[in-house]
Amino acid sequence: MIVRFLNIFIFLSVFFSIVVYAELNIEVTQGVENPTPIAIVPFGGVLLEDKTSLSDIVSADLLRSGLLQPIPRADMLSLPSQTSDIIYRDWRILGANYLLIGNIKLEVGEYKLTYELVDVLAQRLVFKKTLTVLNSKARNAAHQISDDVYEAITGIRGAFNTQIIYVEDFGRGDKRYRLMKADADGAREKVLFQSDQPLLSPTWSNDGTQVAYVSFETTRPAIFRQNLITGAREQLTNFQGLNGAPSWSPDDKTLALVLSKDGNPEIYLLEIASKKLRRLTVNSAIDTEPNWNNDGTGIIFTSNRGGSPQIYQMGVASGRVERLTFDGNYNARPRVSPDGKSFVMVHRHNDIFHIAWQDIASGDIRILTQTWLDESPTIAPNGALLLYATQSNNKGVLAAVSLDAGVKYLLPSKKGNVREPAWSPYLNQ
Amino acid sequence: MLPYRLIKTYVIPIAVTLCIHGLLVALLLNNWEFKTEKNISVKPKFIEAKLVELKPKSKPAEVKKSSKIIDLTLQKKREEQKAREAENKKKAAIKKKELELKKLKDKQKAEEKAKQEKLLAERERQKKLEEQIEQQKKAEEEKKQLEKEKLQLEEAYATEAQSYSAIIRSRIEQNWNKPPSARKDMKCVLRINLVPTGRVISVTVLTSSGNDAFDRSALQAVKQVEVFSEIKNMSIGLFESQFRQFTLTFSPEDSRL
Repeated sequence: MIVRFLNIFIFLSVFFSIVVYAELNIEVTQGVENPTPIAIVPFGGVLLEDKTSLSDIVSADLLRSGLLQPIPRADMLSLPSQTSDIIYRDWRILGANYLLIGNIKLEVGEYKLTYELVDVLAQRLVFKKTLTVLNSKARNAAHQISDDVYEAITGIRGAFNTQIIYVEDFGRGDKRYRLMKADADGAREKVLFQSDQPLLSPTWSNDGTQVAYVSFETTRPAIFRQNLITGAREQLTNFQGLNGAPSWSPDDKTLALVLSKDGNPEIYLLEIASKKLRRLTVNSAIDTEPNWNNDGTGIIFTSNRGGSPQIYQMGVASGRVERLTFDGNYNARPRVSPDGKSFVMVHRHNDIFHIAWQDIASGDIRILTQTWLDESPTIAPNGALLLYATQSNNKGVLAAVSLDAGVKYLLPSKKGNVREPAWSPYLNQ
Repeated sequence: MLPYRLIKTYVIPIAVTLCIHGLLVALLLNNWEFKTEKNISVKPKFIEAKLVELKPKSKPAEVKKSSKIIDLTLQKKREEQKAREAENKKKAAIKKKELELKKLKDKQKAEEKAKQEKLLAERERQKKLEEQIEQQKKAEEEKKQLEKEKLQLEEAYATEAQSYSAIIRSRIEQNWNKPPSARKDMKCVLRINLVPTGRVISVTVLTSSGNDAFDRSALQAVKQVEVFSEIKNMSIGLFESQFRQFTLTFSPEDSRL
């Protein structure tokens, strides 16, 4: 019986292989990881008031992404500012896959920008957009353009138009600790708060309008929140012992934080409006560094309840605890990715501290950085890059690495030691 | 009286002019007929051309046969030419007679000529039929031979096609800037049209991956290659059967995320 079926099968397969003539298909599964070359032509029209070049900012943004390779301006044979002026052959010879051109018009107190991304190989417009910004926000416009180009080419939403906060320590003098805010590229720094006493653990609210941090200004650690628009500050906790590691819930109504008022560090939830406190963890070990998962149902935190620091997840309603990390004897400081499917952490491997990335479902770990003292990872809202603190020339600096470890760069060095960066969510600017 | 006299005096000139006009018309008609005959004679040439085309495909052993046929057609051509020459002479004679004799006789000659032409045409047709039958027989033989050859060729083509596919794949892979948003389950199918020099003349998306950036990267990979220069060394049969149009499937295997 089986033999008969086999015979029929063989007959049929031979028959069909002869009769059905399928079109030749070649399968491509491997690609290069080279950055895509793009020509960013200086925008036509008026110059910006502060003489900075919009296209320079865009070039720097895209270069930093590691996924795009801007072509040097000196190589450009022409500087078109509208699609009808494009000589495709020239750009093809230069090796540009894409071409960004644009125009700046000055209207009362505003710039009116038109910009177009062109697919050089297909000789086709990818998009044409217009943008009107206040004169003072030209830099935001440049980052917006970078975002649009990045998304069109990579398929990932851009995060150039976001900000970071971090703590800068000048080492000595009055107000040596400063809480700083800057663009994601490190430009346009602004002091949010300064103090003679240490500042720690700054963190963004999910709507991007306020930050929470730990300040020692009252001689013992206390958690504050500060409105970024009005500058208004409010002290949220003043308990004995440790008050630290605040983390905003997805709806920004509750803070997860660490208090040691009952003996050893435990995780609590603080309702901001009512100041109602609820204890989450109850055990004799240290539970710290809480971080909400993206739907607000659970908290991922560090605990040494198993003997060494490891990362655990706890259901906020159920209180059920599950251990997430099993590799190595030190895993701490988790930060959940925007899609909630993975987290980054500080991971000790061969006695060196690395930034590592772990997929929650599979438990797969990927080590992203190599230096010996990497700390405080924070993920960009698009999930493509993460920022962390590291040492360079005996100085604390910020560095970035892509979540696939393909791109790494240092942010421009500041005067002081820079620590504890936190990347903002997407902002409405 | 005067007009009548005038008419009388012009009768002869008028008659002469009418005759000349008639002659002209007759000549023109004859010439035109002559041309149409030429058109008919083009047909055998066409057949000959067809046979020459078939020749390289047949085996050397059969070349003799086909050359015989070429001879036959040549003979036939010569005969036709002779016939034409003869006719031309006849026509010249007829033309002379026409000058002397008039329209009645002219008609008779034309009828005779038509009959002769009909006979000739019938003979030609018969010859052609015979030839066609012969050709059909030969074509059948050739067909069998070709089928054998085709099978052998297909086997040869299969291995050749594989190596060319590998070349094309690697050329594309070298030029594919896979976007970071590419995921393992994404799939984009393109249809490529080439010319025998290997130049890409068109690329279209058959099945989109659903991710614009991914589709565009695939299109750009093909357009970046522009010419698969290795293709021009390919046997034309293989090119026509498989490489003039084919599909490319882009599906990332080593996606890092």
